[in-house]
Amino acid sequence: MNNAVEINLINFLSIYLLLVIVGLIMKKCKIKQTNLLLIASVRMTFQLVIAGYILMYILGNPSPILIVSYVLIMSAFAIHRILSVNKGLNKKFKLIIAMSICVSRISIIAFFIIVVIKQSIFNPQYTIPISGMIIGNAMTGISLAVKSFMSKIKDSKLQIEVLLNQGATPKNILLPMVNSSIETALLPTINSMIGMGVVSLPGMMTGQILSGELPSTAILYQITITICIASVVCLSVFLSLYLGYKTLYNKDNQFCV
Amino acid sequence: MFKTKNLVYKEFLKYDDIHILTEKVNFIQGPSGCGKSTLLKLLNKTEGFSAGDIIFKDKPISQCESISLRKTVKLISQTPFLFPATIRENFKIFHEYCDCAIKLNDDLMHDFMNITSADLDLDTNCDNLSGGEKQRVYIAICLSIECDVVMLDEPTSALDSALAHKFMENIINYIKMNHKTLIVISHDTALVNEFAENIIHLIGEKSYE
Repeated sequence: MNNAVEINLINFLSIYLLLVIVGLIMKKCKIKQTNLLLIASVRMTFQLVIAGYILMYILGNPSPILIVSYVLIMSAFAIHRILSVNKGLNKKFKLIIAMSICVSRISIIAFFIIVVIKQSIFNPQYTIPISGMIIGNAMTGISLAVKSFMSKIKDSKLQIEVLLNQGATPKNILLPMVNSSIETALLPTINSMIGMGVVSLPGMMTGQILSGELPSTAILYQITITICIASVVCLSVFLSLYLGYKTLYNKDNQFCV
Repeated sequence: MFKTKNLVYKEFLKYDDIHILTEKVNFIQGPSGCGKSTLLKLLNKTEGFSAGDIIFKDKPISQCESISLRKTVKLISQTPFLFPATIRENFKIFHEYCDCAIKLNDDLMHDFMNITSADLDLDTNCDNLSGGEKQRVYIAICLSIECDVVMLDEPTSALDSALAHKFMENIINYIKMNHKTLIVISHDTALVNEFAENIIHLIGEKSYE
């Protein structure tokens, strides 16, 4: 099998023509976020170029400190993104979300690299791309879960007040909302598993095949990473909300939302 | 039952010392915004106060565990809330949320619905009830969860005066028969004059310094 064809720079630039079409359609439909498309395209290009150069350096000079800091920086960005989408959370809740992401991610990545592919956790060729894939999904999952949980609380103010007055514990009142928010966050991940291989060929597998890897190897990687993503999303969302909902009331069981 | 001492809520709402009498019908009156509803929330500890003290049965309220206090001192707030389900299911859901030990059956539900003059089929979906019906079903469900003190915030606001009168009469009968204490906020002077055994006038001193 052949390695992927090197893309010629000028040919490569022609792909941006497609973005012009996206922009024109957004303008025509009077979508207010047309500027966002521009910002997003520029950021995407810039960030990927930087990431490419950094990865080239790290792969050439693998050192644990570099790998750990790269992973930490990715986590910090993800946490920052989640917290900026969900404003108005209390400090403790924010801390719990940050902790949940780190704990679930590190444990799943460690399991994947040490147990499944039997590599050193400090091998950048595995650790960095896999952490990146996992954290992106955990980020989307938690954002969705927290958003749906907080909007449920907002919509159920009267219900919470009435049940509290009848002597229901905050735990009894909030757990059903926690559970349904976890469901909301998990469904997209599970649905994407259903369509995998039939409706779409996932990115990681496609990448491996393009770069000349055998599809049989590529699917093994894809299956493991898919399961890892599902477990990280589940674990991080579960930890965030199950620990986080307790920060919403005080020791006298009064709500402080 | 309850005594307050120099009670202050959020630094600006000061209460005169009040006294709620045990096993009596206590009415609370006062102009809008004088802190009537807030007072009830302070009594069941769903809100905290910033200074002063509330004594419940000779014990400072700060020493009472909040959940068991709310099960003893029931606040039935002004705006009704019911789940989008039938009346029977609503009874069950409320009891489950409150870990209520009472065994529910249709007769018991009808008994409480009779107190609040809610003459409705238990299979009626609560989404189809009128405002006044919702309020009566909601109060019936809250009453069915056992307690010693019942606090009603404007319970007759959605009822006409004849129905309001009958409603108060039934509630007071129920309270008297079961030796409970009743605290009612009401603007309806006719009801106050007829039923009150103890009237508390709140003036509501607000200082925004």
